[in-house]
Amino acid sequence: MATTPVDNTHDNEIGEGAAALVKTTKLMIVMLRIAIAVLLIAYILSGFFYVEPTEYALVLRFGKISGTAGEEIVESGSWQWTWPKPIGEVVRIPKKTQSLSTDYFYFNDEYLGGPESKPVLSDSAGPLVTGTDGYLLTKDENILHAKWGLTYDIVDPVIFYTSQVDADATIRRIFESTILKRIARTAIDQALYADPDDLRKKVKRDTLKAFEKLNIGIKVKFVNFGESTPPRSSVLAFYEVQKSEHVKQTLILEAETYRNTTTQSAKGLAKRRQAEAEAYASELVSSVQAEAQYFNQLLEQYQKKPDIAIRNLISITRQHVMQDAEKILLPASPGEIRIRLNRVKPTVTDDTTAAAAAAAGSGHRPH
Amino acid sequence: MAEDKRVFQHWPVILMVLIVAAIFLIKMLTYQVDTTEYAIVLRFGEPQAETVRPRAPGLHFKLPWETVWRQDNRVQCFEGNMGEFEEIMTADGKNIVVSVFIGWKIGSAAEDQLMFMEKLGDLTTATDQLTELLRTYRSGVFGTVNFNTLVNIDEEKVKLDQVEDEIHAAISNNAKALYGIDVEFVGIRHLGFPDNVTTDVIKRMQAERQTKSAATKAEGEAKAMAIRSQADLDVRKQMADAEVAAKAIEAAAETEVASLYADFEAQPELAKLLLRRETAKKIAANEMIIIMDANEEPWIMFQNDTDNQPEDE
Repeated sequence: MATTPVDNTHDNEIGEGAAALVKTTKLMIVMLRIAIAVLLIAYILSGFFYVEPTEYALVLRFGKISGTAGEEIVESGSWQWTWPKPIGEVVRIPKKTQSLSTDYFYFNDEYLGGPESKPVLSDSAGPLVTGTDGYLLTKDENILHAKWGLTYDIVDPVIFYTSQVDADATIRRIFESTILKRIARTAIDQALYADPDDLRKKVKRDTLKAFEKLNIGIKVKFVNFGESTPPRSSVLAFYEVQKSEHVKQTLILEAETYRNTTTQSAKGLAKRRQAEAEAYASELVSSVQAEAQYFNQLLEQYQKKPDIAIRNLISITRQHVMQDAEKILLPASPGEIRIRLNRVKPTVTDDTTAAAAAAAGSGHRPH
Repeated sequence: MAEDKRVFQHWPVILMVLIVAAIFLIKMLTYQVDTTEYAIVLRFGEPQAETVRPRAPGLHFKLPWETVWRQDNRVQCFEGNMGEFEEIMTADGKNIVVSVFIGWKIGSAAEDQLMFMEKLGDLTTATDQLTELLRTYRSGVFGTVNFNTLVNIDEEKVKLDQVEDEIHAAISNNAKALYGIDVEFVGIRHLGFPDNVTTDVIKRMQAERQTKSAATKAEGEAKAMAIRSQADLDVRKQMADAEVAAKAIEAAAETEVASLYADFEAQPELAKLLLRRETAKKIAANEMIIIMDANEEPWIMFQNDTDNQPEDE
């Protein structure tokens, strides 16, 4: 019996291919296991989060804030874990003081060269463009441009997160409305010059009240009253008033100086007058006392020989009077004797004075 | 046993399939409501009662053919989709330009949410309708007030808060009744004049400043003059008082002197002579020229002897 040869080559090839497929499948299964394990671990690990000390964090589980009432806020400065999305979610809210500034009431300075450029000062008044040039109306119906700022703390992150879609927009608008209402009760001079800080405090008080009423979880810390100016085309006119104010103060100051000087001078004169009176009184009394004493001394001599006493007295008096006589010229024959007493000699201070005196002398003859 | 073992060897594939299936099923059979939103489950467009399909935050069950309508439940703030700035004539005929914002949210009652969903459906339609209400009542309320209740020298007469309250009340009533919307607040953001009027306002401000400048200078001059006049008056009074005091001192001295003169009564002729002597000394203390007769004493002493001889000799 003859045997038929069998071709095993094909079977061998199939066997090898199947083995390779099994091997590949096994490898893929291993890799899939690893991938699943890695993904699961990554998913679990992605639930860890760190809450910065400068922020609040709320954990949502299936969209609901987790934690009992009053304990919803996760501790700051710590590592936490929650289920990752879509099961859990972390909402972060800043704990740091927030600030916003508004130039909604300021003129558009972009076409002037940006915020750093100075306002164009000119007397020609152009219209302000609504929606571009912001401004406020004061109670005296004047236009005021002003920049304002607000700083606040988020004190209740749950209310803050759940009350407003866009908290910044709400806070900004409430703040601007409060400013507008306060300025409508304020004169432009008060806002610009008299007491801007008082205005700032009033706006802060109003803003605090407004946000307390609104209850959106913030507390106002500070209100800043920044740049403020009248319309550009009236700035020069406002400067003029300030200059006039300086002039006014200068005039008053000068008058007060005059008052102080004259009052002090008058005090001196009054004291001098009193001193003169006292000197006069003292001199008078002393003089009369001396005369009385002298009289009593002469009286005895006079009572004995009145004529001699009188002539003696006259003689002594003449001697006394004429002791300072410059020169006495006696006439050769009986006549008049002229005696100049106590001549006041002119004093020459300098050449100019002398020349002036000479000129005055040559120009005017004495009468 | 061996087959079970082989099946178990494919657990990663099974797990993957299970996970995908679970996600698919969870997606189809549950809905999640966030803290910040309202959600209403609809079955073929028909809203389901809250007792059947809860609307509170969390994960809830639903049937695959049910859909969920969602809207934010928080306050939204806006000035209107159009006509943010509007020119309005006040009751006393003044043209003003105002901008008013509102803060609104869907009412928390179930019927409010249903009404909002049925009447408005989405945010765009809601803001369109609110814009219409805002423009209507903004113009209506500002048109009934005088300009001097918006800005006024007398702070008590400024009624901006009342204007806001009136607009708030008017919009709130309608928004609630028509759309289930709660208007939380209304505020005035801009209050001004039409553009062309601002030119006149600025010119008036310039004129006022010029007047004020002149008045300030005049006030300064007047005050300075008043201070100077008062100073002069004070000085005169001071000097007059000093003069009175000095006279009193002098009078006292003269009174004292008068008593001393009593001594002179013992010999009046001698007293007169002494007084004349004192007077002469005082007069002679000044610059003067004395004219004397050469025949008087003592000049007679300088005359010729013959002249000095007594006439009787």
